[in-house]
Amino acid sequence: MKIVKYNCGLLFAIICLAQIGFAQSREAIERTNLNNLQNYYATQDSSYASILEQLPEVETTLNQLKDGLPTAQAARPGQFTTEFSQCLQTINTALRRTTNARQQTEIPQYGNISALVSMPGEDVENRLAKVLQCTSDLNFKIGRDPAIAEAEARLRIVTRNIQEQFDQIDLAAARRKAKDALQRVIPENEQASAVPAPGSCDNIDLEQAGFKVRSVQINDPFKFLPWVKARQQRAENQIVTLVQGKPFTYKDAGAKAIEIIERENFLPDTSDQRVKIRVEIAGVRNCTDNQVDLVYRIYSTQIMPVLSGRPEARVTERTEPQTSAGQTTVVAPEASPFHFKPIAGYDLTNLFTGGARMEVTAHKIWKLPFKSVLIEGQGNSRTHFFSAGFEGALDPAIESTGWLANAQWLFNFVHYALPTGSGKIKGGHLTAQFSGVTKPFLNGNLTFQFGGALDGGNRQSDVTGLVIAPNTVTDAGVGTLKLYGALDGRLSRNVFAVSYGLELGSIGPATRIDWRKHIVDARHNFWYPLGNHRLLDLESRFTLGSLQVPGQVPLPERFFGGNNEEFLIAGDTWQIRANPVIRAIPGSKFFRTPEGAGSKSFFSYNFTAAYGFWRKTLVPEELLTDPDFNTQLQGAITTVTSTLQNYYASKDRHFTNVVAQLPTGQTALEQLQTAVNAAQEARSGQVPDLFKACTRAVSGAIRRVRSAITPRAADQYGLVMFLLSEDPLEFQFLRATQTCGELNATIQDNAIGSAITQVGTVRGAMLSEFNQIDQVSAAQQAKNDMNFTRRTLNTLFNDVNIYSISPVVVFDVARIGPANSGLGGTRYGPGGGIRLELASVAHFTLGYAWNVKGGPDEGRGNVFFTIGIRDLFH
Amino acid sequence: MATTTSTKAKQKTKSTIIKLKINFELNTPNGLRKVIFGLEKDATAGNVVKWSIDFQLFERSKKSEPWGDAIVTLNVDVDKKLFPKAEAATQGLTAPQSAHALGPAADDAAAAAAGEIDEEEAQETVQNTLNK
Repeated sequence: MKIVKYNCGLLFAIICLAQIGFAQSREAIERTNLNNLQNYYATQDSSYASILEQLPEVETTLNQLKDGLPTAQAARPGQFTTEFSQCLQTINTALRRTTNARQQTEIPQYGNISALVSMPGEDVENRLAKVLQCTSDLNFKIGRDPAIAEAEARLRIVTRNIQEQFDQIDLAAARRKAKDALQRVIPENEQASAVPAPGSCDNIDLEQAGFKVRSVQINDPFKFLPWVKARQQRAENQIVTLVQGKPFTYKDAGAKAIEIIERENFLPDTSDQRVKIRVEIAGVRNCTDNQVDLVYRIYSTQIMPVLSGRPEARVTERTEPQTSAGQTTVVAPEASPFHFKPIAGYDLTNLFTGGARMEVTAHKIWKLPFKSVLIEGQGNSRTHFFSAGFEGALDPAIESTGWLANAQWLFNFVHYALPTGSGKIKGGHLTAQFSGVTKPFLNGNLTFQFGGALDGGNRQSDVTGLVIAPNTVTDAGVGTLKLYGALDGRLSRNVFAVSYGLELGSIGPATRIDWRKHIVDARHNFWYPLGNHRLLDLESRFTLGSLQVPGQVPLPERFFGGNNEEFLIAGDTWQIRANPVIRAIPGSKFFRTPEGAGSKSFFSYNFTAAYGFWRKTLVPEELLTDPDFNTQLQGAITTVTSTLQNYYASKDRHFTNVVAQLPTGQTALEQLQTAVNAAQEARSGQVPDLFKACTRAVSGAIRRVRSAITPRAADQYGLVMFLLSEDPLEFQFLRATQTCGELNATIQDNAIGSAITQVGTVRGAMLSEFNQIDQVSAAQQAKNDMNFTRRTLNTLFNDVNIYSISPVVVFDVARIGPANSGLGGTRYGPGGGIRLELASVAHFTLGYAWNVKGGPDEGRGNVFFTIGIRDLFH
Repeated sequence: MATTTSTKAKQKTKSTIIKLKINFELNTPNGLRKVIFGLEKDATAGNVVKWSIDFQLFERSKKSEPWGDAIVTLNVDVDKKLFPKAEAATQGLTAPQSAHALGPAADDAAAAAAGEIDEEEAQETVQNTLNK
């Protein structure tokens, strides 16, 4: 009774605090309450009590480390000062959490404990792992201090114990209890409104009540893709034949219908390796007139396992969620290897331009190391851009211990012409380019990209009435070497990238450097839902450029600004902007300086804010508000992270040592089997049950050891892990020695006795090695690798819309130098417009920006318009 | 047309889930084998009546080749005692569960397919993944 009262009090307090403290929606408040209650019920789990028992040990060990570090530092004056300081700080934080956990109770205590451990699928503090990491690193650097090593070993053991206990907390049961409890305290007026709506199927056994199936519908958010639509139609027809107009049965409407859907395979393999997620849901609704509608929902996504945080990827998520979800690269008969996307644009100088981007993806192009052909073109009589080439890539290997996550190479031809208002600047060249991206580092928050390109071609100018700056030629054959690198990162609602590019150029086929170009390009995207799926998108881009000319430079290589964008590597998906962009000045008309046409330095800042006020969510809102659905989707990533953790653990040298001992284990088990068989023959008919149990355990363990030595269908790590476990449900060494030990207690056979001892000795040696595998580090590496993927998945399901309309506000600032008497200098371009993103058809942006205090011939403003049509073959 | 006409009001009625299936795909490090661990929940009148596991093992000889049909498929009705574990597993398999699915469960599934052990034994091993 006391507990009930306490719980009600706790609930009341939580709800009041939630209501007062946050101006949240009802759903958000309920979710907060639910999470708090779940944490409370988690503290009632028996495993939680075991964790509490171990907190004093954690505190003592952390204090030992805290005391040991200054002593070790004193013995090494002036050395590793930063490392000692950082590690001490890490220890202090963990110690604070531990002390707080010991002093507190229930939810606050749970919060502190969960900060000490790692939780699959959660961005948690993981304090003990951090302490272990820093002490291990530090001790290695200082040449192993025995006191630190001993405390670290103790902490490693107690951390593992706590983590195991924490993992055993039945969070699902805690959540169920929390839901039940929350329902019990919903205010009466809310309960009244919670009466099932007319047509609700809740609490009706439809089969028993004799309902008939009125209709069938399959929902897949990507049904606008032809291959999805074809499969959906086929599955729908089959299910209609099976159930429509017939009495409802759970077997037909559930299992058989889902089987039909699975046969159609709504998630075929992709041309690259991805993390796959598939959720299928069968539901019933509109239970009226003794009839019911069946609704099937399919949510399938496959995400590149190692992603970079490039802002370009964020734009793709918004405009083409089907591409981010891996639905356009499937290997399916209905899915064409051809991709064709019409594009168009308009501005006051370029006028209307049209074109397309075409890609043919194939596993092999003859015997060349390329897997796709890319052709892109857009233009009119005034301006054009054309690029055609071959692209190759090294598929990202999710399970590899190397630092390189992905590599790409490109061989292409580019030709362009840009109108300046006084003629055109033009160029054409062949490029050979290579680029790579590292695996995520710094807790999985950053990746580093790098690349190089070699160009050869020409630059030409068709200009009239312009002053040509000193050391500048209008036409020339050119060769350039470009080197570039970028850091990028993706957090839950932020993507950022900072790129640096260096271009070394020469006129003609020479090895001298005629000009040097330095480019810094920084981008940041932030998005936040103001209301359900109504996203506020803020995009910023800052670009800086400098040109040094020790020899001569072709005019088009100087900086020409305006609405036209130029990139360091034209035609590449990694877009390092290389000119001052200001949307208020049409074409490339921002270039006049006191020296002549084209500037030698620039910066530009472009800001775009958009708010999607009208939208349709990718995943139905009904499911998005169900906390379980999101958890289940995250479950797939958690599973992949777990698999990756095992992979990294299997790469630990201690695991190699375990594997090396497997043949010895096999021999010991076979000797035990021989001894048992001999004993059974000698004692025919005696204790048959004990002999049977022993024989089964030994033969089962032998089968497992053989599989572990030469894995057939299974993975070696899993086989070894459970061979060494104490799990009574598994075939393992201990089960063999225990069951045969029970037998030998009765029959007292010396040969069996010594064989059991031998098996025990081998197991002990293997287990000792296995326990030294650094699981904490393996878990951290796996978590780092999957951080970007998890965040992309969250965005895809929680933030992405299938269509949205947003008003847009833009503000640009650009400066070119040198500046004097109205030539060069700074321009400002405020403006506004509208953006439509319709994943199934097209996306476009239309706007106008004013050129405040513009220079000569730049114009007073500009209408800008871009449109991209959805891939016509997908 | 598979769907009959229904009013706007009807369209807004919240649906009641009668079956849910989540597929977890696990790949072995060499990329030559994969396991699909499908967790299914069946519900009548909104209450859970059954959990089952749809376990499929795939093999291929080269990484560049597509996966063919599953070489082993096991359908396992989860013991009622394990329902809470099945519910928890929908939040993702833990590292030991993943190791078990790719290790002993896959090993026994292949052994059952080869006739070395009974299918019931393999099903039991598959189900035991939830216990890890």
